[in-house]
Amino acid sequence: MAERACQRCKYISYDKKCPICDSETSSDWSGLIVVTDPDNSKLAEELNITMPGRYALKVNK
Amino acid sequence: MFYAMRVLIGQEKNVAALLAQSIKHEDTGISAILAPESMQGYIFVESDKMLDMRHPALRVPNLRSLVEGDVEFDELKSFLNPEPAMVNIIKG
Ligand SMILES: [Zn+2]
Repeated sequence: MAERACQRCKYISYDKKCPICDSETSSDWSGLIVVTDPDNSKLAEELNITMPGRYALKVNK
Repeated sequence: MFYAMRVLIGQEKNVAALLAQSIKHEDTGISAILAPESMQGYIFVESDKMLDMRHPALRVPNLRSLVEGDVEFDELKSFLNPEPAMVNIIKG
């Protein structure tokens, strides 16, 4: 089963609806950032990521 | 600080995920791992400590080596928003 990324927050999961924000997910995504410590990450801050996890950099509908 | 690491081509996302798992309960200073689609054979690591590749948590399959010297945040920014113009248009 292909992994999907949320069209809104870009969180990666296998679900049709994002487990974090309940938005639609898409199987068409690229790039990856794994945030392990959002409180100490400039990258996470730049991307408005506040929860640890795996996120796509780009999500197409 | 931001560092580049060489990884086996095609394994960028896998190595990033494995590394994140491996460092989970370790004191490496790593806060994020970036695998941009357009950078074949490389991943980037954000850490508030100097990375020591002898640290056992940094030994994961297909992770080759640390690139000497650090990377500027501005150099990574271009990877974060592959379509900023479009987003701005949509949001009005
Ligand atoms: Zn979401």
